[in-house]
Order: sequence, then C-alpha cells, then structure tokens
Amino acid sequence: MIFNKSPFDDIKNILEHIDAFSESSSLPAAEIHTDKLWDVITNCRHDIPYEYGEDDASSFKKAAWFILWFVNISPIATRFYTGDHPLAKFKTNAVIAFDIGLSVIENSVLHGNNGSNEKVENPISLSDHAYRDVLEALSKPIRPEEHFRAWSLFLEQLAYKTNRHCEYPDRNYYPDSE
Amino acid sequence: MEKNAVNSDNTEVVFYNLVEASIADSNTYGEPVKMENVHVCTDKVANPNARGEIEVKSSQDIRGRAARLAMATSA
Repeated sequence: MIFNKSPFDDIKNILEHIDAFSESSSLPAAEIHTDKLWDVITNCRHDIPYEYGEDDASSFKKAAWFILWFVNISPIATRFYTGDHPLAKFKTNAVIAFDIGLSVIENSVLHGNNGSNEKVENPISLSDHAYRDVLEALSKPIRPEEHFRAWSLFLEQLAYKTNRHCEYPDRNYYPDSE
Repeated sequence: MEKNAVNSDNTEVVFYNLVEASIADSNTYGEPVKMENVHVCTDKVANPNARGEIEVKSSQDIRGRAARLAMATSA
C-alpha cells in the first residue's frame, strides 16, 4: 500500500484509494493538493521517532506515523460528508488516513524482539462507537511528534484484538481476576 | 475531464477516476499521464528488511478496500 521502495508508488496508491472511495460513494471528484500529499509521504518516510529508525519500525509505528502526518497536513480539500451524515463532523482526511493506516497493518509481518515472525492475518475490527471516537480524536489538532507513541500503541492493541498470536505474552500487570 | 487539484506552482493535476493523472513521477513530472500507462502496484517491492514488513497490495486490492470503506461509511 504505502512504504514501498519508491515514494511515487505510495502517492499513486493513495490517489487510487481516494479515487475508488469517491467513485464508490458517488461523490464528486475529490480535490487533492498533491504538493501536500507529497509532504505527507516525505515526512512519514523519514524521521520516525523511533530509536532504531524507519526500517526497523513495526507496521504499527509506520501506520501511526502516516496517519498522524496525513491528518496534520490534510491533503484532501473536499469534504466528503455534509449535512446530517453521522460522519459529517469529522475530518475527511481522518477517514481516509485511518483506513490506509489499517491497511498498512493488515497482513504485515511482525519481526519481534524475541525472534518471532507473526503475520497480522485477521482483519482489524472495531465497533461503530469506537470508530467514531477514533475519528473524533483524529479531528482534533494533531501533532505527530507528540502523539506518535500513543497512536502506535493504540493501533497495536487494536490489531491484537483479532490477532492475539501477534502479541507479546502478558505479564499480569493488570490481571482480570485475583 | 475534471481538473481538481492544483500544485503550489500552479501546474494542474487532473485526477478523476484515474482516467488521467499528472503526478510527480520521476519521468513525468508536470505532464499529464494516462493512468493506464502508469504501473500501479504490480511491480512494487516493499522493503524486505523492515521489521514491520508491509504487504504489497495490488491496484484491485486498494480499490476494493476503498469501496468497502465507502459502503461502510455511507449514511
């Protein structure tokens, strides 16, 4: 999807995603600032705030870094939802960024510190309630550097809901029962 | 054909249902390009050394996912 070897491939894939979304929604053509989109891709491929660098960052970290930069820069100028649509109060850029972020995580392979190689093979799911809360959070002012850790952790835990085999073993910091 | 994006340098970008697009490609910068002539996804290679190895998705995968999102978020 993104984080291909060539950043141009990332741009094409994002444009393709937005195009298919607007086509399937019967929405008018989306207005996209391609210079801003280029900034998103440039920023999210570099300077990821992780001590071992971009290449070693997990797909959760990559997805979080992308989502935060996409929402921060907001390359989509068109407002997809208006009027009394349930998503009208949220940022269009948040809807698209979150979906692309999840697609980065799904089917990615996690090379764990313990030598494990686990694939995020099950689709990530969340309730309508949680989905709207996510979009609301992403519709607030976003500062990628500050929000990076919390969002990568959130995405990790979200993926583990349906992919428990990818999670590191619990240590009972907060056991369910005593 | 709708013109729906403009770069900061005022080069127009045409992007409507991927019929035509002018995007910042190494060979085609600023020139309208038939999207059908642009390789989308099929020859891409994700970084094989990354710890979080990202799946390379096809154009069909990407469009299918976006269509599902559109359906799921329709009022």
